[in-house]
Amino acid sequence: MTVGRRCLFWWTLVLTLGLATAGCWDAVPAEEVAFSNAVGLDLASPKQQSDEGMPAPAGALVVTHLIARPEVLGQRAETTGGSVSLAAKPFVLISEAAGAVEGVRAEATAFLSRRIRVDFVQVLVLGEELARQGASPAVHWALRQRNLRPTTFLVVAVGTAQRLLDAQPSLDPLPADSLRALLQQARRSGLAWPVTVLDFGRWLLSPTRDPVAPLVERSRALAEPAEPGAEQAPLWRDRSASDLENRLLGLALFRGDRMVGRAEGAAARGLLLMLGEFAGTVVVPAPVPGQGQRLVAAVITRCRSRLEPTVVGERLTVGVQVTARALVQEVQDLGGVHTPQVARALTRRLEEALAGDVRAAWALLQQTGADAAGIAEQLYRRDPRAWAALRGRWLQVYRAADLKVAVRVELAQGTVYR
Amino acid sequence: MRAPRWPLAKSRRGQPACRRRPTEPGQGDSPHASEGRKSEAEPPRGPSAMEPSPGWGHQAGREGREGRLAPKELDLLGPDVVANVARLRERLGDPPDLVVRQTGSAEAVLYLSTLTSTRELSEAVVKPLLQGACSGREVEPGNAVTIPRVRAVQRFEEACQALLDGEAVLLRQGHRGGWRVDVREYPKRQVAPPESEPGTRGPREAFVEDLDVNLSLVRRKLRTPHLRVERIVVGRLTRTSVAVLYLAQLARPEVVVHLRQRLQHLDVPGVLGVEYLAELIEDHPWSPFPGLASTERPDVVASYLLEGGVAILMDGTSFALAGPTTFISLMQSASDYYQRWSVGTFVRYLRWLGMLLAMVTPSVYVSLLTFHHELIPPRLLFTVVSGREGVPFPPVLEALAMELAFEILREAGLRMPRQIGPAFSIAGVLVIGDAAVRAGLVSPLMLVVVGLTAVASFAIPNEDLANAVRILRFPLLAASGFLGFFGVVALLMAVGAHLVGMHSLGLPFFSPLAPVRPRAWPDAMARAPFWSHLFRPWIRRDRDEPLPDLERGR
Repeated sequence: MTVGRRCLFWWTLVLTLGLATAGCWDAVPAEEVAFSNAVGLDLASPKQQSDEGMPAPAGALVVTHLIARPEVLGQRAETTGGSVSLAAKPFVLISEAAGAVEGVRAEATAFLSRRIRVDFVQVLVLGEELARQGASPAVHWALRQRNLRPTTFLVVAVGTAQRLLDAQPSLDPLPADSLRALLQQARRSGLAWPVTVLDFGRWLLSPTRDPVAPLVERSRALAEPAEPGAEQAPLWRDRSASDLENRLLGLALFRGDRMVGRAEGAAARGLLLMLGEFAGTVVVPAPVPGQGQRLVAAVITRCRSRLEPTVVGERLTVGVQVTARALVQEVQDLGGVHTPQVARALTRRLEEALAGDVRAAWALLQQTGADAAGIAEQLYRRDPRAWAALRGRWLQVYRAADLKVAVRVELAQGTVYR
Repeated sequence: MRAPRWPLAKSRRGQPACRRRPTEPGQGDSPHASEGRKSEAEPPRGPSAMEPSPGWGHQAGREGREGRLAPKELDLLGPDVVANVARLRERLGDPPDLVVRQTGSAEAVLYLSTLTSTRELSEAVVKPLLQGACSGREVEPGNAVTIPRVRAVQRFEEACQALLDGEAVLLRQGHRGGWRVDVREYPKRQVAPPESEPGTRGPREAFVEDLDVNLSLVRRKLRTPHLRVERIVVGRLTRTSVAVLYLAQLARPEVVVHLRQRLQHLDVPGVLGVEYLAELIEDHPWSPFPGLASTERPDVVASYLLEGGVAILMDGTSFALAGPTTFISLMQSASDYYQRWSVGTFVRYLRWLGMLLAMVTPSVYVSLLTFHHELIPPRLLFTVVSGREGVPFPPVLEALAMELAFEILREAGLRMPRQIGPAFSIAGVLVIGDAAVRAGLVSPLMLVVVGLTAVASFAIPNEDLANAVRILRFPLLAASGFLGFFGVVALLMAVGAHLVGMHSLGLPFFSPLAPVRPRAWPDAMARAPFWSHLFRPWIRRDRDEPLPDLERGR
């Protein structure tokens, strides 16, 4: 065989193998694809089932695809004050009830002129009712999707996922964009941290940790338009509705695959502190000499935590050590805060506030039995034998555990300077 | 008798250099010009002239073929002037510009008025001859003329060729043979700034169509006795003078011999441009990539010579060939060396980026939109897809159509009169593109892609390489339309394998990257400061060798 023929043979072989394995034959022009931007999963209500005129299977789901409309998103109508106005609603919601998530996609194909692709799903939204009934089917479906990114965010909606996806956020054309942005800066809110489908699935499969997911609800906008003509919201929005925005509420606590509670406010902050994820703002009263109590706002710029579960006999004690660096951001009075006495007092107040949040979170965790902080996981790592001994009655031990909290705050920018 | 394998054989019989044209005054074949000729590496004439050493005798590649001509054509010039003139007139077909002047009672001067300087002829040839005739002294015409470019001519065919070269032929009654006097005058262009390789800094002179002028431009930059100039005549009918330049001891001898042999073995009716030669002598004539660098800048030729390369100049063309060249060299520009090394390096990387964009931008666009949507960020994808709403063609056809349209516009712009060419191109791009978008035939982003591709292709400094990239863009586009990134990558791998396997005058084309020669990297991967790499001959060599020290003559 000559060199040329041998070369040709190898090229042909490589090309054939490549074509056979690469799957490049299924070309789909982008304009023939319906890009699902978010998927919402709800438990079908009896009303929805009766509308279809047939008995729905037990545990039937309502699957909602948020399909972006590129032709609307691409239109750049008149710009007003820097914001972009859209001539029409830039997305459509496609909902269908079915026994399985994938069945909806199959049924949608029958009436939709484009193929639904989940490559661009940014958020998987679970309705609260579905989360309480069990999130395993939804998460397993998401993890089995070849084209759905494992880094897709997962949230739990207060109410239905469909309603959450039908929000009309002011600053983003698509609700999914708004949700993604909310989650990306969740730590700053001090209420949650972003959780991906991969995280959630890993926790579901873990015997030593319970899942947790951000909790989002429909909410009114923070501010109403000041006067006619000042509104800069996109034109298509129906302003008659009062709750157009989505708002981060806290964390949904799971035990196993079922949602068992909500952590909001102090409990949510405490859980974030326990996990070292807190980066929010804390407002505490501090004593200013001669002026009584003044409010001081401090931003936690760095937070570290250490969980140390120890077992003595049958008793579990959980030690939580939190180290935080706080930046004084706002003081209601300029004088006196930089004095050592005030700084010490302020530090103590901050430590007490953060410790109080941790205790609130711990109380909620014990009440719901959700091990969202991963105490069992830490115990397993520190003392596998103790974990093995307690595994069978972990819930009882967990609910009766003691908590020791130690918070140390390092204060920065105590003085006023530029 | 068996014909000699090499056409050199005829010259070995003592007829060398009959078609040689001296390059400089004082370097003709007259006795007092012999010193000047040696500086151009001419071997001495005579039986020893055709030794394998480089020199004029190698033009005898043509001579050898003439050695197989009919015996009648090999006749010598006879003693009868009238008969000789009649034969020459008949041989040349009695052209209207053939002038025959009688300068004395027994002398005649023949020349073609369209190729000859009549003023110089009158002053330097006719007038001295007439004065000699009037004074009654018997002076050999070869010694009477006042210009040094005079050579004796014996053969009839040689006299014919001298006339066709623009020289005047002197004949004397009763004298066997004659003299050829170089009084040529061709219309020539002034040295002008380079048009295809412009630069903001550096010398602003480019080659012209006159070989002597071009040689002088190179000699001005390389005033060293090591510069060798070999002339070879190419083309059976065009008889085009080709000069091969190199620096003795610096150029690899095998490269010089290799090139010389290729030029000698050319058997073509004619060459009208140096590009003809490039295609005829390069290692891989089927490749879209150039095997020799084409340039119109004398400084580029000088840099190739200083790096141990070889250059080819040709009469009648304003471009020179230089080699051995490499892919890296073709991506370099002369202007890199006329600005600071940091800027030169940055510009070089920009150029590489431009080449990449020019080659793969349309195919990547098609691949992404047809196969790999998930690689595009969502907001960008929505923008792209919104632009494609309503476009009736799939991305690959849209891209092919737009690329072809652009190429047509570009080609039409070249053919347009200079006054309206640029305006037409701009109008074509703007008006037709905008109209196509408004009509929904193409998407706006496609215009961006085509525009980006077009602009990026102009970042490639070598026009031949840019053309190769232009050509490769279309198969890449087709591959992306059929196979997506897989096709693009497969084709790029094939192109890469081809490039790695190519040679330029024996030097690996992808050197110094393949084979790996880190010593040459400073000026390949970047434009390193001059002190680290300036004119190091290993650039044009495929192995590290002891370098000659030209300044000490070793």
